Amino acid sequence: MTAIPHDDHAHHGPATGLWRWVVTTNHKDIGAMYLWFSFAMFLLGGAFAMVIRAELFQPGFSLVEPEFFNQMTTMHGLIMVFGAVMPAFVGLANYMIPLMIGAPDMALPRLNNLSFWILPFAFLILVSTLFMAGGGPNFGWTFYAPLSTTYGPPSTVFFILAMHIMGASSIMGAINIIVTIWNMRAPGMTWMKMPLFVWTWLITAFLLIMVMPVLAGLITMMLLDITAQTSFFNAAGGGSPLLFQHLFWFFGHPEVYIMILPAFGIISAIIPAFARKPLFGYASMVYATAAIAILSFFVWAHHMFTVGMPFAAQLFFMISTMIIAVPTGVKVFNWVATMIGGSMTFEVPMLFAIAFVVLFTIGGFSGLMLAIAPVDYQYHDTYFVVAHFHYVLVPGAVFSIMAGVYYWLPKWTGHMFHEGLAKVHFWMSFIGVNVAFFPQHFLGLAGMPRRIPDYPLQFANFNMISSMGAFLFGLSQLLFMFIVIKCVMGGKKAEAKPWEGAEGLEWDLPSPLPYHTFETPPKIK
Amino acid sequence: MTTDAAKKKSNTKIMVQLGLLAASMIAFVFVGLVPMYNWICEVTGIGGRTTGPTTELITEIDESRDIRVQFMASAERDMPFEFRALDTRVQVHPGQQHTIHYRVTNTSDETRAVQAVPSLSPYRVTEHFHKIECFCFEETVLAPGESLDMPMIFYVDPRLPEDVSSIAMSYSLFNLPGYAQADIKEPN
Amino acid sequence: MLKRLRPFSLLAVVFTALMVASSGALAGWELNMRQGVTEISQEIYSLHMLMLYIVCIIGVLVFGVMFWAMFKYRKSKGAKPATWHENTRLEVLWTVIPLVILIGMAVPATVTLAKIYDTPDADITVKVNGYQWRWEYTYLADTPEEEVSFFSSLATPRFEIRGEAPRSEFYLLDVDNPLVIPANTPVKFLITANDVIHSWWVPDFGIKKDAVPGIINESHATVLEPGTYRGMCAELCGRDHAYMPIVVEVLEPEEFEQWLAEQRGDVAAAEQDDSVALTSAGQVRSFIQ
Ligand SMILES: [Cu+2]
Ligand SMILES: [Cu+2]
Repeated sequence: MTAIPHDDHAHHGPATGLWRWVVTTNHKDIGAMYLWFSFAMFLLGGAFAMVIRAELFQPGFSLVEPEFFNQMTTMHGLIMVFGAVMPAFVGLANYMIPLMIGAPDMALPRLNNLSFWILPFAFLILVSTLFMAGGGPNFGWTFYAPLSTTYGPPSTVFFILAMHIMGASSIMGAINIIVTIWNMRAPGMTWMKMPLFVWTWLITAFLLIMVMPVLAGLITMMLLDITAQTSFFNAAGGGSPLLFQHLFWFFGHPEVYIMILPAFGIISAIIPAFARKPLFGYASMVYATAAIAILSFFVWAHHMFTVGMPFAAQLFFMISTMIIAVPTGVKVFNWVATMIGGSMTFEVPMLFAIAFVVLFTIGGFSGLMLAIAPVDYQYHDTYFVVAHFHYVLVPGAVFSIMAGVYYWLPKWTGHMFHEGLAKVHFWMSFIGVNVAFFPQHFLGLAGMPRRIPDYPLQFANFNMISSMGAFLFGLSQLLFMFIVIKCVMGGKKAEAKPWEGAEGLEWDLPSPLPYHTFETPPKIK
Repeated sequence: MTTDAAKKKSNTKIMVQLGLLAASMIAFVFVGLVPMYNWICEVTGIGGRTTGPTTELITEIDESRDIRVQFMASAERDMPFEFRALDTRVQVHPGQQHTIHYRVTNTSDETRAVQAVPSLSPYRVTEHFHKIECFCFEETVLAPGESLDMPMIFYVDPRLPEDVSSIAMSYSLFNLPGYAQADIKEPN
Repeated sequence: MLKRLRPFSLLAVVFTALMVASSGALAGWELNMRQGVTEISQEIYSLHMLMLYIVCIIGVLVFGVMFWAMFKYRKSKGAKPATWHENTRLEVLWTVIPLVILIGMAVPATVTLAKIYDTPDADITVKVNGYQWRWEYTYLADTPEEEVSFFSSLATPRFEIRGEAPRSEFYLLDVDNPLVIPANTPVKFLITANDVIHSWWVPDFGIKKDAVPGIINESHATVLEPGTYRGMCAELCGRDHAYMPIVVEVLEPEEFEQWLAEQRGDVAAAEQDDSVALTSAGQVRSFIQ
């Protein structure tokens, strides 16, 4: 290697020392950095969740003041959504998409470096607001005006700045992914041969490009309202606080699919691998994903059934939302049909994938119930909603990320992870997540509003159970960290294809992956 | 090498196109979504924001119907203003003109500008409520301690849906944003 | 297999225990939505139960098939993998059947929704105004002199919240001045807010309506039974969002009339006192001086 001339970039090994990570344009380096960053954010957002659950362990002021509690719920939401889940999927995309389509790297490596490295600054700014006078954002991750504008803390402008940087990073990442998939596929890798993870990410990236600018526009309007006395959301000057909600959810609903479509892709890779049978209904999976993405632009006001809308509007948003259950159902049925007739084993990635299918579907069920406008009057803004979106995001999105990490970890590190510990991690997470979130359905139905630091006595029992589940779930993630670090440091040597039934170009490569892969395109069967 | 260069070029091309798509989405929020929202609100009456002055002339008075119109007032938090309806309820025939009054008093010791924002319920009546004259058409500037009885002249459209027999009208008083003290030097 | 299933069964046992506990009407273990005391709230409840049954049946079927497959097609039991991966008829079937089920759900939902929007003519109109962090209720009247208006704030003392005294039964659900309305009479609520967005929620009435500054929202209730009904603000509205409960006292119509007359008398008396023009917060009240 040392004999190779310095300017021959393509055959360069990694630079040495910390500087390597700053200047790297290698998709594996950047993917790994995204994943570590998102894990750090996951722990930070998780720590905030622990504060929330500790405060809610029993009624009364037990730990923190309401003002700080509101900052915790806000920061927990923002960090988990924008800091943990989204960057984790971008990291997996960076790492895996070039391998899956037989490309040597991402199409725009320098942009890739930039889009990662602005992210830590965004979250540094966001977290630093907690230490500013007046405290950090305290208006919920949905930051409705006028609570966040006229009545927001002074740190709101820094919150907006952080969101702008984060949004720019997402848009650049999405552009990179689309260009890579569009242009860098190995010869013979036709559209309908692409693994579903690539397909779901292609569609997700388009969603990102369509809606992240809407978020950018929205927070720009907020900034103008706060600093330049415009009246986008201020009734006095001819604006409307409801405009805020419409714009937010026009972004926000596609945003939730941004957090779940790549998960569908991961699960669609793992279930066939451990069922040793090809994925059932590949084409319908692709169409269902596209259908979900398109429909997501026509359902936003289901988050706003209580704001006061004409009958026709309520009916429209109720029905359009219900229709989404059809393509989502197709996916679940396809996964089940993949298992039928297979030859299944239950290694850790598969355990997470199965838990995903069951628990995500439960979240889908409550989602369907929430779509029914008249009943939503009772569910809206209660713990029923909290239970719903945590079911689709924690055992949904987060479990799929963990499934993916366990699935590809041997490929990345060249070592097998400790199977026994990983199983303990799975069962602790599985039990923790259900004990934490299932009772929240009951709390919501019994009438507990969300985002409250203190509650009437009839909610005490289930809150205590929920908190205990949350602590268990939180604790088990430290075990996850230990397992991953242990696997990076060493362990049983992993073969090129450690999972018998795994399909895809990435398994043709040696484990651990060399620094450069597919410099000559692979042959596609 | 030439294919590499070609690929790089087309990579840049797609990148630029996608970047333009993102930029146009930002523009779309400002020039598309916001006007669209306002337009939809106007058409459907969402929010019950009545506008005016009306340009339609009254054609007939429908004496067979009696509509109850109720008036309410509220002022934004911490505003040193008194604001109330002097007429809280009137019975009107569709087509018949009516004048009601609100009284506003500036209880602070400085000159202030305020804006009254109307909202009407049920929303589907919004397009049938016509205002000929209203204090809400423009901001109101009040000297310290000044009190004003402000008129509102309206009529209800005879095309009002059959099942509507009562209308509630609310005015909320807001501090006007961007109305710095310096701008209000000489109120009349 | 058994070993693997143990945590599942543990969960099942825990939740069954909870279900049983709740059926014994133990306070604090409520699992389900309240039926409420208006026609609408009861219809919402039945709709909720219908949806719940439907998703439970679908869940049992889908998860049943999945667990059956997981049990039957195990490598350890010698299952050989098949290679089929498509079946157009099946795929059409499981697109169409859910569609039919959804229509079955949408029809009753639309009927109920239409009923909520079909509002009766109300004799009593109450303006509900949300403040950080209390509610103001105003009974609209023919003349400004007859209007009755008051604030309704949390009555739970600070030391209970701080845990310095035992918490009372209606901890955080008690107010100083409850809203009073008559039973079996259509009442119209005109809901708005004074600062940020709040949401006026009385579960027993099936009403949750956002209180948005500058906009009035309308809700209706005809309460079937006299009693005391409690709710909470449902939209995050800042620091004391948890501390602005709603208490509605529903009286027989005659009692209500009497109550209202008393309130008007109080107002008249207070006016002679010449001290009602402004409330503590300097807010404008709709009284004529
Ligand atoms: Cu949504
Ligand atoms: Cu509130």
